[in-house]
Amino acid sequence: MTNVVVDADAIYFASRETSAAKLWRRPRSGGPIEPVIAAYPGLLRGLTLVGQHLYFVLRPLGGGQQGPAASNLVRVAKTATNGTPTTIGPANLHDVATDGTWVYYGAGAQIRRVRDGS
Amino acid sequence: MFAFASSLSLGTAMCSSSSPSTGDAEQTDLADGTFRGVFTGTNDLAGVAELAVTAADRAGATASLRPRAGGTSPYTVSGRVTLNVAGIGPIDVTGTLDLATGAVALSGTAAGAPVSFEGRYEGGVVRGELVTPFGRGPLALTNEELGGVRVHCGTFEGSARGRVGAIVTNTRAAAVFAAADGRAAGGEGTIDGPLVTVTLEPEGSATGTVGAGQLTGSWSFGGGSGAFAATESACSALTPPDAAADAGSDAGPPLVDAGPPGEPETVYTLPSGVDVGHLTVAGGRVVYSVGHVYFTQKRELATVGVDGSTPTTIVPVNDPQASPQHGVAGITVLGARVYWLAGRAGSDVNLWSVASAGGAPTDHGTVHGALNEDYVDGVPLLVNDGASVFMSAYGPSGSAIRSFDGSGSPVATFGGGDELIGQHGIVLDGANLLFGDFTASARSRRRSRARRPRSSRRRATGSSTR
Repeated sequence: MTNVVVDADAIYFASRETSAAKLWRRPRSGGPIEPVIAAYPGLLRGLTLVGQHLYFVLRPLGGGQQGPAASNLVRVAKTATNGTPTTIGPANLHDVATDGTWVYYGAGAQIRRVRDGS
Repeated sequence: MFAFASSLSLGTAMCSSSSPSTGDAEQTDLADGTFRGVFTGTNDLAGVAELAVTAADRAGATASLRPRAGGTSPYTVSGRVTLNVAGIGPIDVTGTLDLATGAVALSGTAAGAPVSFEGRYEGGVVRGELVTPFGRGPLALTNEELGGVRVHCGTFEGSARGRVGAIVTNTRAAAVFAAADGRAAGGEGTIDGPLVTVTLEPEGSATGTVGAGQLTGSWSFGGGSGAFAATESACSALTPPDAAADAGSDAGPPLVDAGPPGEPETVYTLPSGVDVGHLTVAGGRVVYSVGHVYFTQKRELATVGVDGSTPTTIVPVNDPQASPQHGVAGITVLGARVYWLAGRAGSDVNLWSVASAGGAPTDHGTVHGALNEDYVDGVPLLVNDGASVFMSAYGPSGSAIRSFDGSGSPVATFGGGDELIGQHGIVLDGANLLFGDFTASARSRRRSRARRPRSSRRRATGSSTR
């Protein structure tokens, strides 16, 4: 397991297997662990929860020493099951932070932010 | 549409011309007593407040709590603000109300960080902006002597979504709105039978019908409009801190989806051209490390306003020859200090801190052996609960969860042996410290001294990894 975030409803955590990243949801009320996204062939980092969405950075496998553009900030509904993340834009495979309204992340030498909801 | 920053004006441009006029005697008579109020803020914050206002020159007097008419000496204010933040108890606030100027100023502390309120008083109503470590927004209160005070909490929808709070008395009403996108408005008005009309600042209005513990109606501000619904029971259901903390509940009604994401915007470009490393957000500033690759033996930390303002280097880049250091592995901001982990030559890892404004860093000493640094980018290894810093360490020399007090001194260590195997990210939910390891997730009661988790790895909740 790599990242973990929580809210009143569930624990959300990322796991890394040999060649795939997975994102899981475990309801606080109990019950089975549910896959928020389908297994992703790459790395998942910077998991952050804002409102009704999980934000994180995905980087595909392959390519060796890749630049920042190879990874992207994405988001998916926290209630999704085997959901497909929406790509927001290039991001460093690193931390993602929030003030509850904006999501902050690095993209190369830039600090960027995106609002959760237009 | 206006930015949330405009709500700052609520604190100084109080009491709109829509306020019912009040005479000097009433203005004074309604200054003391018990005030009840509602708060809405950024980050889905909501809350209620109760303040006791007493004439300073009468404080402690037993003959009468009511000041003489026309008196202008400052009033003392004390009370509590309760937020829908799990694990945070009622926040005690104290301050003054200056009848001569109408200025009201309060302060307090929550989660080790300051809480402040600046507003204005007029005719039994106090309005202004409350700033907390969890968010900020408008707070409005009315004197119970206005009669029939009913406090409502709820949500609004339409072209914007968010929290609404409203107070209705026999003759007057006040309301506060805070949208999920950061916009906010607040104002006061009148009640005519069941009909409530409130003029909002900086502009807008809200109208509704009150009765049977409910207030429903329509709102219009910031170029948007929609409907709102609030109830008295929702205020009562706001997190009774501590009691609901273990369940992680945040009581109040959940917000609906905020809609599609906005367009990304650039806050700041590092002049060095080096990638951004770890980052966190606290106090309206982004605190980040410059992502020097590890073999350069450099570490560097800086901050910049969330709007890109006032970039400040708080830890200049080190001389890699004189004092080589590995990259930063985790950042957290506790109170007025920034804490981070950084490896030193020889591969041990130290805990460091520096004032948020910069200055000489403090080396709190070695806290662990080398970390597996290739895993820590984008994985939070440092968190804090406002009083303690918690560290998740995973390295070739072992794993541990450690805690440190506000001065950076170690308090407790959990781990060693086979209790932990490569835990990574950690998170706090107000009552528990949750962390993962190679095989599972687990939790431990959050205490000043880390203890064995209630859920061991064998009873863990996570799934197989690696």
